[in-house]
Amino acid sequence: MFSSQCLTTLKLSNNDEELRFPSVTKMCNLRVLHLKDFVMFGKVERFNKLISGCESLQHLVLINVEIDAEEGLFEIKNPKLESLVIDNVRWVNWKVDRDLSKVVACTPNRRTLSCEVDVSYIPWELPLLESASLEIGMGEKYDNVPFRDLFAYCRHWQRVFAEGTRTLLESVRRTVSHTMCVVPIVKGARDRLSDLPDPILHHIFSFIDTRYAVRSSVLSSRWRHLWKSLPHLYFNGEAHRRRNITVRLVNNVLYRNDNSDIHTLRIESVAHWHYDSIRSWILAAIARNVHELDLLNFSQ
Amino acid sequence: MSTKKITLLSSDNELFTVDEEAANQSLTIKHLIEDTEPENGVPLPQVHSKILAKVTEYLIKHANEPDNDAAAKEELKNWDDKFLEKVNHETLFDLILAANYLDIKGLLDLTCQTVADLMNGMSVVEVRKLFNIVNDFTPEDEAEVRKRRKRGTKTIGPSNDQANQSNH
Repeated sequence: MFSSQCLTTLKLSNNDEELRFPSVTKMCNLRVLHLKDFVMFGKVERFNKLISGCESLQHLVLINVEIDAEEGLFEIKNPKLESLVIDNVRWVNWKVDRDLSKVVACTPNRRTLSCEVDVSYIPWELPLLESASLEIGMGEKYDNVPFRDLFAYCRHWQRVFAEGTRTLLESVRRTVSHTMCVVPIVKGARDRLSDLPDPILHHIFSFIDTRYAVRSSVLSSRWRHLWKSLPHLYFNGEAHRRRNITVRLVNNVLYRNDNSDIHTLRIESVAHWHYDSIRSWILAAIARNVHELDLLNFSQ
Repeated sequence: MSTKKITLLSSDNELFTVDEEAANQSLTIKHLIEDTEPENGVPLPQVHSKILAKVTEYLIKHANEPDNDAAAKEELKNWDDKFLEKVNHETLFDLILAANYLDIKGLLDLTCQTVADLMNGMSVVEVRKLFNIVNDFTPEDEAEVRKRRKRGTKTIGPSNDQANQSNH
């Protein structure tokens, strides 16, 4: 599919599926590319090849996409690109070699953009962006950057990852709007979180949706199996796309391969549900000696 | 009536004095006092004075928790937020370990909640960055872990399942 010479329009949509970037992309007649509801991962170069391999691309739409890649710089610099819609996309390391005001023009309501950029690439033209996290590589060369100008356009952003001296961080804190949180990055610092014993990590996860605990399995080998012994399970529809809690996500955690007990199972605000699923979850939880069962706010 | 004072001894031999009622929120301290009746302060060799100062600050503030007074509860909650506001990661994790060792439920909940809030809604890459977690997976391992995780992607709603299948 990714090397078809005839395709002019390609629209892919999937519910939370994961997509590895294709190794070869050569769709020279493709004019429209829509990617919706994907978690994409792989090498950044592959993403860049995917985009640059579509040399006639005019319209690129990325909606509800999480691009999860470690290193490199994302590049979108197709000469014929007319519109670029980025809605609810989370990614790191990006560089768009075009006038970004078009991004704003095409992006309606919800926007999440997480970008890791060199200061010179900061997308100034995104005044309407609601939430973003931005890492500023700070060092001597940034000492004279006028932070006030820098953040004047991003008043709705949520997080800024910042690295630098205390003075620099303070000057960033002073300039950002009160809704933005400056997350200090200390490169090379000890990983205190992974050092915590399992019971404490389990306790931390009891405060947030269990999907984040399951997702944490890809952080590093320390985290790989941690979620399989969670004693407190918490699923809140509000933390899930369209309030659909995925059956297998819950099944994976409830029917895990060990004999550990489940202390608490809390499921709330679910929009679409199956009687059979709920019934099997309750039975599975009881089989694991559950102490506390909270099922709240179910609607069809 | 004067309340009994308890003296706590940090790992670097600094003394902290608090009311017994405040100290008893730590079950570890409570049991140490009951079991050993120490004369020259309760020795806490796992807690440095820098952290113990924070811990005692918390214990004193929470010694008389309001039961039904909504305004007082609100005030205490605001105090809790402020208490951890300016704390760096290093201190936050030391506080978690101290709360765990001293068995102070309120402080353990508060500090763990703070870490959970930091992680909430963040992508894997952001979490790694925030806590300096080194990804030690080989690309093959990572693909395998993701593949296993991917199996948990079917949604609950029957209508959605059908819609997805017909899309393929």
